[in-house]
Amino acid sequence: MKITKITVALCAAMGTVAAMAAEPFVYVNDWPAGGLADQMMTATFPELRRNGFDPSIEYVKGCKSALDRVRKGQGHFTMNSGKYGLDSECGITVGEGTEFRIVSEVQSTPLMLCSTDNTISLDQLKSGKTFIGMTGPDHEIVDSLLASVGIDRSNYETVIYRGTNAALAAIKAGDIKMGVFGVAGPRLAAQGKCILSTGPNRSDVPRSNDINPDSNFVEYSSKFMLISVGTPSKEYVDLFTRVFESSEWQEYLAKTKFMHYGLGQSIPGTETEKLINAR
Amino acid sequence: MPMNIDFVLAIITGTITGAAAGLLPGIGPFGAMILLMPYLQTLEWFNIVVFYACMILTTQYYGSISGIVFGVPGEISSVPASIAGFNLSVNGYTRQAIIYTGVGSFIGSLVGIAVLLLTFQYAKALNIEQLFTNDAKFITLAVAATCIILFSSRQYFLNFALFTVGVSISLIGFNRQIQTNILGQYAMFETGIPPVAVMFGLIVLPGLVSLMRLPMTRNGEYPNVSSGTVRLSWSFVGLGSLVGTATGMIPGVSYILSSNLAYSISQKFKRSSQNQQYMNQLISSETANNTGAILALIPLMLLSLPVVPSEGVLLDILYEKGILLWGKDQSFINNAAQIGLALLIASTAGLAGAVSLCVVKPSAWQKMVTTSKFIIALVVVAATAWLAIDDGRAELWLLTAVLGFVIGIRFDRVSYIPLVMGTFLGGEIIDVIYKFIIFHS
Repeated sequence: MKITKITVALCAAMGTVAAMAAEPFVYVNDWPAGGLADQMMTATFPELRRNGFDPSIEYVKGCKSALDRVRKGQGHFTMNSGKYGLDSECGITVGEGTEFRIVSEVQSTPLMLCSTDNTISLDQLKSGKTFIGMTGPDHEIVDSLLASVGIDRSNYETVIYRGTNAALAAIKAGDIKMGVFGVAGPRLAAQGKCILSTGPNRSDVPRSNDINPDSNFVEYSSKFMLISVGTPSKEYVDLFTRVFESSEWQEYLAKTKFMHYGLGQSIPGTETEKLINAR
Repeated sequence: MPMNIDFVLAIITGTITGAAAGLLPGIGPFGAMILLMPYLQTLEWFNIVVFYACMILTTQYYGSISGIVFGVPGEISSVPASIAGFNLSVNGYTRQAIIYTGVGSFIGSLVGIAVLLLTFQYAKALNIEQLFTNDAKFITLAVAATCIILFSSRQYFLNFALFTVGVSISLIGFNRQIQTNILGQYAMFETGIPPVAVMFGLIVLPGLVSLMRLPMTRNGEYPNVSSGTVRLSWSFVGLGSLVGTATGMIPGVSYILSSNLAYSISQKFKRSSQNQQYMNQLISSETANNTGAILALIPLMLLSLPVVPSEGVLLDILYEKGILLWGKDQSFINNAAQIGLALLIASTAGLAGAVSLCVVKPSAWQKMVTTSKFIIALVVVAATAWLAIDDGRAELWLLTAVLGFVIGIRFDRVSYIPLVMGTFLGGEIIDVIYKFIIFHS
């Protein structure tokens, strides 16, 4: 009898401990460790912990694999980049009647057209054919940017490189004249020369005099935090509204100077707002 | 940069890590960098690079030992050691294989250090950027592919077919450059087939089966031990250094190509004794390995260009600390003596390690292998399973390994180096062809 009582008491204690243990909260990330997606996810950790979760990041290869995990409920959120979450490599769609919803959009550093060669100019792009290196799939943005300053598609050819360093080496080797850079753009502006930008210069970025100050062109490369459409809204809406109000998230945005549109923080009437609130 | 205690510690920890990463199959420099990320983030940027340089060099010394003794390559660059070196071991030349490999690697390292320092000295005059044009890479890869096809074995058409199959395998998945998506609609194939999984199925698993079937005497020794002599051929050390110098700086392939190419070329120079033939192939590939590994540091230090995956991890770690290597080339040039000294210490430690292993009697090596072969097989399979799970595509690794194993066992007389190298080089070959067409059309 005594043994039974002890067993029952132990089981009850274990049950209480189990109930008190934090619930796992898995982000699925197909971007490199230490990258922008990683930093975004990590910035949400403190508030998630305060809400009884044990957040972690699972790294997988390929966006399809990442989306599959989220689809199957093996992870809570994943990231995707591009324009409104439509990525040609993954072929996913978001919004009403589709598989995923946007929880958050972070507009990161504008893309900049730069070179290590200080002699580059817009005029060079208007005659002959120039090879421009790229590291991502943002062809449309680059085409629109160059079209906005009157440069025709026949005047340039884009070449894809595996990473910023490979593109920079190709500029130094003379294979290409300039490249489109995100994160490296600001540093190139300081050490080389940038002649166009997809957005207004950040205050902490050394200004390159040749960047057209009158350009109205504003287009950012965004990262989206996605959730499976099957997830009940009560499981994440209030939670992420709190996360995006947390001091840690605000500090992250202040530090990076990224613009953010998330649950409870989107601009009414915008495309992102419609997608965020589509439930 | 000051030569303080942190600098010395970076050399010591880099050398020890390199030895561990080389000896433990499946870890390699890439895995070691990821595992040690928290420690590396505490170091000053220059010392992180010094740590990395010492680690990558020492890995080349010790990576061949598991290949020679157990017949199991830790990474693709150790495939020659696992074939030629293990054959030497089975024939009773473990001691010679280890010591000659150590000497060859040391000479290869000295050549590499000399080329690195000369390049730093004359970086401006050499206009080193010009070596990294797409056309230069195109020519080098074309020559390398031709050599692998012509020299891997006398079955040229089979070699060509295997190399083509390898390149075709590398095309599976989504290719951003040429916008193809072969089987990419299936999540499993989206990011392509890992070359290491191909190597594991075709070479490592059949190698483990051979290890299990290895004939032995009652004392646990090999029965077919030869009594002839094998010697260290300096001309093959020279060949290895030459191949390592020619290929070490090629982005994406570097010393992995160096060792396999040197192995294939030295196959062409037939010797009367089969064991001497194995020794020449082993020496040339391991010498090339070390020269190539040091030369791979040149584009990293002077152009911030990572040429092997582990250098990509290094740049990530530095970026996390807010350091971009871009623009730091002058720092490296100004501190060339320190870099040379660190590499020399790591090389000497590698040679000393090889020499110290020679006190082990051949019979002791044999007994160790025959008594622990099941444990070895278990460790290798577990390490690869860990890699596969960490990669997030365990099912793809399993499928590739099983398929490779069935083929490797069924056609066990075929040399699969052209296929494995085709898989490994495929991505780079497609990339240079894509850019060649754009630039010249």
